[in-house]
Amino acid sequence: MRKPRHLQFILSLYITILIIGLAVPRMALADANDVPEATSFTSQHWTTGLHLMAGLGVNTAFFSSSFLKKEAGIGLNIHTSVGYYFFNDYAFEVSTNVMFNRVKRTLIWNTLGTMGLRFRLPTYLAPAKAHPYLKIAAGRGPSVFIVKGQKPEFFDLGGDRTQIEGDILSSAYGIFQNARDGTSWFLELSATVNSYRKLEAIRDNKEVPEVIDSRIVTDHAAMYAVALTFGVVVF
Amino acid sequence: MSFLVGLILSLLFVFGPGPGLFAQSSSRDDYHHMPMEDISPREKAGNFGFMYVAQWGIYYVSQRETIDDHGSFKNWHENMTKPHFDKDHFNYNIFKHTITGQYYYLFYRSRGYEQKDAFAWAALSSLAFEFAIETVTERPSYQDMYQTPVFGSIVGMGFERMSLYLHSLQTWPTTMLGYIFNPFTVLPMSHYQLGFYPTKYNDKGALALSLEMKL
Repeated sequence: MRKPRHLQFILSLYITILIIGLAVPRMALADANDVPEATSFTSQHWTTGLHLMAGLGVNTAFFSSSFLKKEAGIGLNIHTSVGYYFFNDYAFEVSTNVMFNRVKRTLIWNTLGTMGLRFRLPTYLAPAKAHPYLKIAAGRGPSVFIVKGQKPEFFDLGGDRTQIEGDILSSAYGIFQNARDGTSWFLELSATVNSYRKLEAIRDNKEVPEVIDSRIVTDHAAMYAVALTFGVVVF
Repeated sequence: MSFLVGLILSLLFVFGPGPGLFAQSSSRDDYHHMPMEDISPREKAGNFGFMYVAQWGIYYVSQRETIDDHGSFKNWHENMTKPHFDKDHFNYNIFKHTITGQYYYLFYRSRGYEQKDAFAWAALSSLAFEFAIETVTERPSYQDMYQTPVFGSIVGMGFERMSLYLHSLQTWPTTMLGYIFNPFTVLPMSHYQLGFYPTKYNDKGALALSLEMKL
């Protein structure tokens, strides 16, 4: 299937940012690298090893397909990421951003699972005392549509809920800052596109979900989401 | 919603700027987790094995009907190589799996593991469940592999601190709540230093067996 042109553009943009990102931290962060080896994670010193981040935030989403364009309003999101940090500048991460939105009687539950790279940006790209970073990630994840009561006309599928799986591209700009008690917190603004590929109608049979209908998505359906998350470095 | 409330409460307890409730103070009334300096490979294997057997037992008891209807040995080995995005409701994927992951985390903490190690072993136990237990009835789930240990550990950290604080208050209702928030504190061999001690009451001329938590 031919990819929509805007997705090809976004993909090219990501690759370009990724290449720049690999080069920027070494050029711009001599001050951060001068910090002596610390035992705990701080905004200016990312200790080598495994780190877990968690946060809560708000998001807004927009659903677009060839025959329907709909705003999904403002919802809550739970963001977590597990990353291996290295060279004080980079991290390979596996993360999920679980988003909940409601459009009238429809609850949209997005699970955006991605793998990607986090890297530092020059400190002048953030407020004083904060240390900025950029994240580029890709992955796959489902959006689940749960309709309460009678389904809207454009829902011609049966079942208790509809699950649409898609390919995800995500980028985020964020800042780390140290709190007075020694913990580090982050504020992150992320943009995500989930290009839908496969649609399934689900029915629960004695708590076991069964797929009663499955289709390939052919109408360029996608969910665009922007999320603002506040979180902490758990360890 | 209950998951969200739980997560928010946990984050507040883990990172909240409260009056040092969970700080490692030197006060003799505070209860702490006491990590082991070195856990031998044999002990690690034993802990993992114990958890694996417990997972089988709990899975069988809680999913007996589903196992009877949909389970088979053929599924068990064929499903191992077919991970996918599951179709479960968020009650399962987020709420129930988080509760399960929390117990994995708290179990390893009770065996003396540091936070990071307890998280890593909770992740391994979660993988073992997804790939070598639950495959009897269903394919391994990508969401569960990630969310069970990650969400579970975060909530577990909050519950652990809350439990230690409640134990520190040293009243029987709060002690009971401490056991509820972290049931592993009741185990005599746990690294929360709970133990049975013979106590001699000189003023009453009596000998008793006391249940205590050591600092």
